[in-house]
Amino acid sequence: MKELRTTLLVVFASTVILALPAAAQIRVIDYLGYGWETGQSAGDEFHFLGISDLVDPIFGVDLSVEELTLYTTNLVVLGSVDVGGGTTMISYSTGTMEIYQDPLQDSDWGINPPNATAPSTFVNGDLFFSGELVDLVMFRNSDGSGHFSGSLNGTGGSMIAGSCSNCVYSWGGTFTSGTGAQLIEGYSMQVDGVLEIDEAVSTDSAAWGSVKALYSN
Amino acid sequence: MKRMSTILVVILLAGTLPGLAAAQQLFDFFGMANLPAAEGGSLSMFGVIRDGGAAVATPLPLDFANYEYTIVVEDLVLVTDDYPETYAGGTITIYRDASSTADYAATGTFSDGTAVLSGVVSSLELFHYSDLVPSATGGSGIGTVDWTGGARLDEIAPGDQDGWGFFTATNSGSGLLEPGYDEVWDGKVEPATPIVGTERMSWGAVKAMY
Repeated sequence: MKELRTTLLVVFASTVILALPAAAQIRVIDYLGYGWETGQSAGDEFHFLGISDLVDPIFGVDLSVEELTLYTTNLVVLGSVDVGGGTTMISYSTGTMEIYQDPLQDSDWGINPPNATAPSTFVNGDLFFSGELVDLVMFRNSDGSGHFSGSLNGTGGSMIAGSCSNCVYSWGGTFTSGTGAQLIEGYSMQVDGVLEIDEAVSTDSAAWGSVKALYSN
Repeated sequence: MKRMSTILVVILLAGTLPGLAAAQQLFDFFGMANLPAAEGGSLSMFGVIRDGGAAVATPLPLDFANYEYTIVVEDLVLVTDDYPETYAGGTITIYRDASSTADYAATGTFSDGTAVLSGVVSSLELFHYSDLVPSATGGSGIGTVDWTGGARLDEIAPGDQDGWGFFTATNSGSGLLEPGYDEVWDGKVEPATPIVGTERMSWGAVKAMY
């Protein structure tokens, strides 16, 4: 009996599937778009509409037949600090980001947002991702260009429900305003950036033999 | 003489006239940059141009289905190591290549193929916010590009070849940073206004515009 139990345990242990930490893997959604703001003083608002021109294949989005559109809103300036060199650092309240997957491919910035097509044509389709934007900071140069960065707490959408249940998100990029970049009437800045999706905390399945191999070298 | 004038009018009516400007146009790129250690040293950047599809038009029509388009900036000399850093004198080239996939471990895979457009980066300012706020890893760059060569230069009207904007975000702390590089760059090169494509248009259609 003891021999049988030992054999069964060994067999079980050698075939069981275990959860292992996966190697860090950064996925990307690259986007372009336009933002508008009421100003850069405390209480002013910032809104952004964008469209992705690259999405990691793992998410199963085919940009040739559907679009991925972004809308960030509810961002309110908390304060700004002159950090020298003609650059101002602006901090924002918590905001929201929504990304929609839309086969209609009908996004239209129009002019002077909000308007009849913006943001409405950016928030139709299926909700791909929603998140709470936190820690958003902009560095604004005296020429109107600058950089922004922040992080996100994912709250919903098919991306989270599917391949990204435990991901960590960061949002960043550059903006240009009054620097020669093309602007649409009524929008105050052109925005170009990436949403980085870090899968470092996800898990992979592995056989017990694979687990042992990790520690045998 | 009157008949001659009439013939001239007929030729004008049958001629090709430029149509309306297209929507926003730019070359959107994502790449890796190496920065010089001191003034006099040179900056380089190797990147891939994104296919914006219907969303983002490129200034020239590009065949992303059959080719990879890469962008290379080299020999951009650091003139002033201050805030912002100022650079001058570099070259910029957009390549079209069907035979290789760009690999950041082998920069030659970015500069093979046909040079679609080549030119100079006449100026570039890099704002590294860590110079002001030590914890910052992001930055931005703004510069000017003049196109001077390449297989498709002639598709851009002479008056539209100079003064393109070069805009980029920089990030030294990104998880996307490839080994051996200093910064991730995510940016674009774009004309000040969309290039007006030449479209055939009847005189009637031209009149209808007014």
